[in-house]
Amino acid sequence: MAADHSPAGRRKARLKAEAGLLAPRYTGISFDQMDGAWLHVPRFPLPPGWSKQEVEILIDIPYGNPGYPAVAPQWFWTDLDLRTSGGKPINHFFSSASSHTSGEYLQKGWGHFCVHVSEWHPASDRRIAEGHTLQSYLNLIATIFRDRRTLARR
Amino acid sequence: MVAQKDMEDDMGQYVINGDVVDLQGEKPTAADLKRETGCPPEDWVMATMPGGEVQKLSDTQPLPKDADFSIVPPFTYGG
Repeated sequence: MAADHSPAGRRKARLKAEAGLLAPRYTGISFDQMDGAWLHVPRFPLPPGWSKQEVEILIDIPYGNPGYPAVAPQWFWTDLDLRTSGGKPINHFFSSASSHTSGEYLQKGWGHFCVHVSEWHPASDRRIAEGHTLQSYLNLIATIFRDRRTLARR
Repeated sequence: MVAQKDMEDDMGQYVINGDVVDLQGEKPTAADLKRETGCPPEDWVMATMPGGEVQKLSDTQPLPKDADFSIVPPFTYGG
């Protein structure tokens, strides 16, 4: 079968390559093979201080033109019922509809973290590890979950 | 594995974002860490202090003792 050189085809090829690199660290990882619009991590470990030891993570992959990897992921979704270990809600986390959120995702049990990447420099497909990747973004997500003082709602 | 420093010993060996990194010198800085890992130079080194506070380190700051580290793209909280 001939390679798909369309923007969507290149995005899906990139996602496939990155998912392969992520698989040893994140069991059961999958991505949208139809449109290349999301990547799913079914078991993402959390540090102490949360109501769960692990959560699901769904990363929205920018699919416009330009899309990923030129454009960084803009936000991510996780378990709608996540709270601090003290049972408190979380700053910068949206569990109800807003201009940013998808009602469909909310109905499926996802809440949305509002975090914006301000600088993003991916490398070419042949040198993926030399620039920003979805691993970079997952490292950011892990750091956000460690930042409980910012996230714990007063 | 998530982004975190899992180990640090007297030889200056760290695990950052899941990878072991050796740092030379008495007081390696955030810039030393970024150089060694080959990350984009604009990335941020984040330290999680023993009390749970997360701090962004400037390039010239020595890596604090007993902290956990991660390297991430620059970001802001929204909403």
